[in-house]
Amino acid sequence: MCMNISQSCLNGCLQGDRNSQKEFYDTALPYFNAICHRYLKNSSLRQDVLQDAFVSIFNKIHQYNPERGALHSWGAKIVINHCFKQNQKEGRFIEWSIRKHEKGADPEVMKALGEADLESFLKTMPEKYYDVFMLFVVEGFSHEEISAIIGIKEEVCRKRLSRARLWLQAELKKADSFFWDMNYKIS
Amino acid sequence: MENLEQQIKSAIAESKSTQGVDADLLWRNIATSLDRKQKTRRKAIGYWIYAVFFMIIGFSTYLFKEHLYSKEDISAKSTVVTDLIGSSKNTFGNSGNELAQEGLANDPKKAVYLSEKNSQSDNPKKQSQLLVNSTSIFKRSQDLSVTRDDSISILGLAACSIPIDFHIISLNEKLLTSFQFNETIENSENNSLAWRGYMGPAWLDNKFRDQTTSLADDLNKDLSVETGNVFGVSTRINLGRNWATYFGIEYSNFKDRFDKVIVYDTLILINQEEIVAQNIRTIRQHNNATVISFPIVLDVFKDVNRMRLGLQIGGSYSVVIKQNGRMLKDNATVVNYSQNEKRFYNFYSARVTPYMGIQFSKKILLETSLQTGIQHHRKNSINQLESWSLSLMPTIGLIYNY
Repeated sequence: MCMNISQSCLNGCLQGDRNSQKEFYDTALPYFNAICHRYLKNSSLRQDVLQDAFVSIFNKIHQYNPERGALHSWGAKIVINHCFKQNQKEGRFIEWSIRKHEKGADPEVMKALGEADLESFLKTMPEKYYDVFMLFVVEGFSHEEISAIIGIKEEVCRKRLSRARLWLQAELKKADSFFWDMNYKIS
Repeated sequence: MENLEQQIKSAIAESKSTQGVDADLLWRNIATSLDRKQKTRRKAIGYWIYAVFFMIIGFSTYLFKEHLYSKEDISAKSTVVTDLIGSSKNTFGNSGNELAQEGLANDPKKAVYLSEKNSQSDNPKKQSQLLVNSTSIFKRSQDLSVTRDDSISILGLAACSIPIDFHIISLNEKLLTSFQFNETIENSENNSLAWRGYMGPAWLDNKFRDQTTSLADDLNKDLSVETGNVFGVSTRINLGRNWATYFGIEYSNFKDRFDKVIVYDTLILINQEEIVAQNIRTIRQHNNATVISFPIVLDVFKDVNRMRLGLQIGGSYSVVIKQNGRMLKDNATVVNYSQNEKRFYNFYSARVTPYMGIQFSKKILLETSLQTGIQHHRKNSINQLESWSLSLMPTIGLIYNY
């Protein structure tokens, strides 16, 4: 993932220059918005969470250390933290979703699935497995980092990841048989 | 499995989208928040400057007054000892002269010693007179830095009316305690300034008022009582023997819970069929408000032995420095509020505070109080409803130089 944030833009942000901040915002918004889409349970609060996250990023940008990773990864971590905090605040948010009624897809079908479909499929995973799985596989965080973000022990984190993998395998198997059943009925 | 995870990562990690976000509006909000943050920082610095300025002024006034008082008091103390010698003379004949001859007029320790020597008399009337004298010596000797042990031996004498040798110093807890309960608070007439620090939990019950719609009722039902804490410092200026005024600064923090369940019908697609389903949205939010108040109260008090009972009546002006949370805009819309979209504007408060203090040491009074207040909050910017609130703050604190 490359976001092409120039050094001059970073320096401007460090000095609190509004134009540089806008430049960073324009570059980072689509990426951060996608992250919010993945982790925020109440999508109606996405704008608020993004606002808070960007304000935090601009206020804490002097804490960013280029030797420890790219700026977008550092920013992504802040956005993810805000999403999880908001999820905790929000408590239970019961949302009817079409995704709950969808069947999974087999590996072949998955290849053909769009990014949105794939995300929808993964969101059918139990919530606690989903968070760990996505943070580990997609964002590339270590177990230590995930445990800090979610507020669980590292051991629990490892267990959840392995259960998420088991769930994924089981769902794929189910999807596979469903796919063949459907083909049989049609033929 | 790794291959599959790799597929998932490559498909999702690169995803970018601005869908569902109004980029321009979001940027405007971010820019406003950043501006506001700078303003808040400047405001906070302003409050600190005010607090430091207030403390410096108070402390320098105290030092100034104390300096004047101590100069006047040196001569007063000499007079007292001389008076004592005079009264001893009246009671015991020439003993006062003995004191004078020994040049002990300015030495309270020796004065006490000699007074005790004179107490060997069998005459109860004389003993009683001596007791009065010794007590007055003790009171004054505190100012002239007599050691604690010296004082204790005098305590024994004062409380029991038994002549004891000044050189035998025994700490009898029972005597000490009985003395302490007999000692009354010296009136603070001379101490024109005192400082009070206090803290405690706080409750605030906020009720919205609106006769025309049911929104106020809904809000009153959905919002819990606000709980929080309060810290304050204030300065007292004595106005009379039992009257004083307090002014100061107070920091309080409140939190309430907003619980709302919104149920509405929605159409969903299941197997290509549109089905009406109920969408149940449960919102649970903790709202916060941080307030800095500037109270001015009139204090009336009465000292009973070691206790002080008092009542403060006054008001305060409160500045809401931080607020965020969610509340109802109308019966079905939940919105966020913040310092920008205010639920609370700055407000005035009327307060009544009964309190009770107990002498902790010569300079410090330990006090507990129950601060009750009533506030009017003008129409907020979210749903244009005004509200009244009742606050209750039981506090514990210390008054220095009471």
